[in-house]
Amino acid sequence: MSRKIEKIAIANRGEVAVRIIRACQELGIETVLLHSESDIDTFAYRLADEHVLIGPSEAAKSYLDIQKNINGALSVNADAIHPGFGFLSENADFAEACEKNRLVFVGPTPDSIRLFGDKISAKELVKKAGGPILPGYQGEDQSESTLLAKIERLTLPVMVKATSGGGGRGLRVVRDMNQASAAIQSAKRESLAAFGSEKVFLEKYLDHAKHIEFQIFGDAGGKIFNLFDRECSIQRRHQKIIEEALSPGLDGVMRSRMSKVAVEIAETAKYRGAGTVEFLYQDGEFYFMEMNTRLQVEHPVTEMVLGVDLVKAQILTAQEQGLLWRQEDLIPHGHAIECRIYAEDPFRGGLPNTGVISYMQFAHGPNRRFECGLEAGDIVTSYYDPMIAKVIVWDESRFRAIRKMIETLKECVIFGIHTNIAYLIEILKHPEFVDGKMTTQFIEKYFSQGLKPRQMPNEILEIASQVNLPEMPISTTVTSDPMSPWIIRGNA
Amino acid sequence: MKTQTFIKGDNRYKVRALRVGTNLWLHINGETWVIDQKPKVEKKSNKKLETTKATKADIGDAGLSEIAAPMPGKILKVNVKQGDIVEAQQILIVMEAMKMEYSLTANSAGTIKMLTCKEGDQVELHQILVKVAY
Repeated sequence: MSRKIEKIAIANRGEVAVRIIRACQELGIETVLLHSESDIDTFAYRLADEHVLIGPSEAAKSYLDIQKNINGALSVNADAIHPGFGFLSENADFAEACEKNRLVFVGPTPDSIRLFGDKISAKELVKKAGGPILPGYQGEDQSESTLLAKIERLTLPVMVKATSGGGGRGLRVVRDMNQASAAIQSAKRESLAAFGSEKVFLEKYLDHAKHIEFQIFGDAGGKIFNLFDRECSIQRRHQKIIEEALSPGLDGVMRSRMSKVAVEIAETAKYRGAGTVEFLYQDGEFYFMEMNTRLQVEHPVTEMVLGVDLVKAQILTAQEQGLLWRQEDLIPHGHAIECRIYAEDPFRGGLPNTGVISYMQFAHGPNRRFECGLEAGDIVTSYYDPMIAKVIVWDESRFRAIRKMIETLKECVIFGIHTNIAYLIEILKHPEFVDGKMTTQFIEKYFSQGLKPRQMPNEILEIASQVNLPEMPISTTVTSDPMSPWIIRGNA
Repeated sequence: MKTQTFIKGDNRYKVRALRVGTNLWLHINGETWVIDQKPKVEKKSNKKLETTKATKADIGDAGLSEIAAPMPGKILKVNVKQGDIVEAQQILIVMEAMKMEYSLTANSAGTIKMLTCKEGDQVELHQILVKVAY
């Protein structure tokens, strides 16, 4: 019993929109980009078959507006909506609105999203599935006095986290009772701005844990696949920067114990589609953190070690079609690493910067993959996440993959916008990272201020005074011939 | 864009270069550098220096530190008012840019001499937000 999807609307932007469009092209499905004003004429816009302008640049009035996305998809007769990650991807009301309007939501059911989106019901389900959880407070009483009392009882450090959070927003760590009040207020404010709700929860904060997550996938027939783990311990302000598959911190016994819990959680929830069970791992113990009911930014490292395509698997499952996978064939090979390139200047404390990317050249080669939502000439705006690209490499061992990543990053040329490439390279060279012993404290411990300002060697100035510069492109005025059959959109 | 090779003694440099406005962007042996090639207007910069001195003199304090917006964004919270005495590392202003919050703190203990922003303001890069005399 399959249902054919002929046209998918993409309720997202940037590199993930590009990723989805390309998967659709491979499956012979038409694409419609639902986009904001500032995303007119971006790379995804140019690749999509059709586009619908759904609102202004502010995400709250476009990418986060359920009705505008639904209306946009209906206006062009799309059959389905792919939400990507972030924005409305984990919004149960959105998934429900899709169903009501006879649009297939490419993702789990609204019930699954609601179940895992609510930290309390998620933790109850995990307990039922036999998974360990961290002590914390998830009560309705959100008064500051109650929260302060609970923080004291949990013993510091304690994490204040937005109930509807994700991606590090609305999240603060309290290490000193004097900062507790400011942390609560700030988490609430950030949560309100990003997710429209200021509800927070508290959790005991582990101070030398690894972030290890398991990719699972429920196919249309109800079978749950274990797609193994990723380690994402390299995080700056709880935003992941470097991810890898598999984790260098687990042995076979621990991996199998954790994957059993992850699969059990998904089976108990009768989960369908791509999902990620996030754990914290410290001193041989692991704790359930949350389940992400969507595609993850770091999904490519899993794809590289297993040779699968998660986005196509999502779309096929939405069509009620089976997959070609068999669990016994899903054997991880080699090692994959992903680095996120952000428009941030590491020599100025990681300051985000905006503007035009004047030139961009990636260093292609075997087992190097680049996911990018921009082309040279495109603008990085301050409206959205400052991530401009992801670089993913695969090699036969972790050590070789690290070496390949360093060489690949060194050869990536981006002009016009400062990037964190130099920062990523220093992290990759750090002995604790090379040894695979890093924890979520890594950045705070070694790289919290970014990189020390560099002295410009004299040789650079000498080269600068002698270098040949490419000639400015001659702007050609296209004579508009009224008889020409060509319609041209966009500029070079 | 073609790669150029520069050789000096035993060192080889693989170079790619592009001028963007008045900036020269260079990618040399895996590192990116930016050189500001704006012609320097010396008279103007002298004048600026004098003004800063004059401000300091007006205040009559030993020093004055200006805290500027490290990026374009929105002011979420202003924790101080003019005349407040602040401690080193105290959070003075919370701003938001690119969906993240940033706290601007006092470099050292002092007194708030001037506050040039309020909650809800959209501010530009390098815009002076608060001046602390110490």
